[in-house]
Amino acid sequence: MVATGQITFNNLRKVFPPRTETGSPVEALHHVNAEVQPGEFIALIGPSGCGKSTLLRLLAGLEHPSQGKILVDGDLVERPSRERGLVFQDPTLYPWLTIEQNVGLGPKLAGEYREKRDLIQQFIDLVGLKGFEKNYPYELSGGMQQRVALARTLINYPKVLLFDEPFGALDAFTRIKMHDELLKIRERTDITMVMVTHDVEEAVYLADRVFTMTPRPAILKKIVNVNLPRPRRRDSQAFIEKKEEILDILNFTA
Amino acid sequence: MEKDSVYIKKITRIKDRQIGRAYFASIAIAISLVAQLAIPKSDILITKSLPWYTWLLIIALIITTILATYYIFFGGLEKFVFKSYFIGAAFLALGLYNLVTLKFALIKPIFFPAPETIINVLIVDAGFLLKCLLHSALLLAYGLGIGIITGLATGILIGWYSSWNYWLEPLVKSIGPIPSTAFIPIALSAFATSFQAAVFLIALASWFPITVLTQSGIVNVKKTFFEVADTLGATDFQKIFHVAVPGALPNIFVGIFNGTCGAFLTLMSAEMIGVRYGIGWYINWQREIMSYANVYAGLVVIAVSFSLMIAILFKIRDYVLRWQKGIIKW
Repeated sequence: MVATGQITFNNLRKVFPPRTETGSPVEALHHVNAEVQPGEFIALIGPSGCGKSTLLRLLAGLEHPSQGKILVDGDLVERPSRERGLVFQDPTLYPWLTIEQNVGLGPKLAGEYREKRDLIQQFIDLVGLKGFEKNYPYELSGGMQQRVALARTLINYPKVLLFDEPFGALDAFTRIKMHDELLKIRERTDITMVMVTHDVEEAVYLADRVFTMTPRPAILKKIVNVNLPRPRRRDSQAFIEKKEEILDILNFTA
Repeated sequence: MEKDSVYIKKITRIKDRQIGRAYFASIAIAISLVAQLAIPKSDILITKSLPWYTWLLIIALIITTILATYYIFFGGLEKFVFKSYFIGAAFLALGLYNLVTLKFALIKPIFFPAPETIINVLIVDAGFLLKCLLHSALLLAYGLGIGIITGLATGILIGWYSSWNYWLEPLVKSIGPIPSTAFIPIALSAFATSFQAAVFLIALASWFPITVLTQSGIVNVKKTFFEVADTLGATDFQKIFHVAVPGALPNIFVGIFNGTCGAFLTLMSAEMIGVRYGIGWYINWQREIMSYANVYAGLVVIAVSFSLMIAILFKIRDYVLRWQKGIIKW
């Protein structure tokens, strides 16, 4: 089987029209060129206004580039697709659907809910929510909701999984737990993952490579290889050095 | 020792119960009953005496006393105990009205009939009242049914498609606010039968609020819900029925509630003006022949049936919106 989920950013540029009549257009992304290998975990990091979320939304197909193009396995990204799953900071579960129905929405939209009953159960089990199938989202904690959001995306077997600060709203303990669970899921699948984050530690802990981005102009400043062995220790010397290297690039030197 | 403590526990438990509150309804009803039996009827009134009000008080007294006593000994029935003050006060008010009308004839008997006379109409005229009620219910079912369907359809169209919104919204915004009763003259001449005209008016009255609230509900559904649907492979059409409409449901129910109230109003007006039969027509007809007891009886029927309908509507809403956190505040 050929590994899938190879991404190419080709001279990508995004300009938003001015907010007011007298204002000037906002350049949210200034000529990005990069490649992501199949199965890689990429973290996009940078201060607000650096275009990291815009890059992710372009990749998801929710925005259209002003110039340049994105290719996934050689196919041009033109519109959203179930091949590119997306998890937001807010779990955005549909409150009127039970956990089971939320996870099964992808299959349902494809008209194969009944055939995939077992699969839906498998994915609920995978994210550790057995027993919550019939519950409604409001009955779950933030961390549990985010796991449902993950299962809802994974069930479509996407080539690429996109995260927009997925654990930003969770408390520190839940976040650390979610990191390890995500890595466990990753061991079982070979999905390419791209995560927007503002947490340097999170980026170094999870990613194979970190794309550091800076605002004005919004550019991809440098790609940092995090070639640390897994499982990674947050308190190891090499880990801390990696964090400092990234902070350096982002001009946050202490 | 142990027996004692169990006994004391039981005593305190009984003491904890609100004996006064539980029996308040019974006591109030008993007072009304004593007043009804002890005070003679006013000499001005020439109508013959009717037993219905006395019977009502006796039945109410028996029921409330049984409930209160059951509560004292076995607990439960919190809802009844909570409502006891209100039930008692309602019967006291009715007793007071009975004094003012039947006993002392302080207000004009022709316009303000005694409770027993009103109950008499409800019993004697029951068959005809039921017929009128069914006729009204039929009108309402057609009108409200059409109103809900067209309202949902219009609301979805103008809430989802900008082209439909461009053409239809001005129409909705200009026709909608006109009270549908203002269309009575036109409707009566435009439709073959007054029944059709009334159905049209009721549909119109409920259509507007349902349209507007469906639209605003859809417009206010979080944008990210649609983006997630996009990444799950939803088509435009699927986004309407899997995201937009369910997301708008809380609003849609407010619309249906408002629409139903508007439909009640229009139903009554339509029946009082053009439609033959129906409970509104009954009230108007009885007013014309100066039978005010029948008018009041008609009002009682309306109060009971309409509030029942609203209660059913709320039950449906609570079931459909069971996914909402906590209690809905309207």
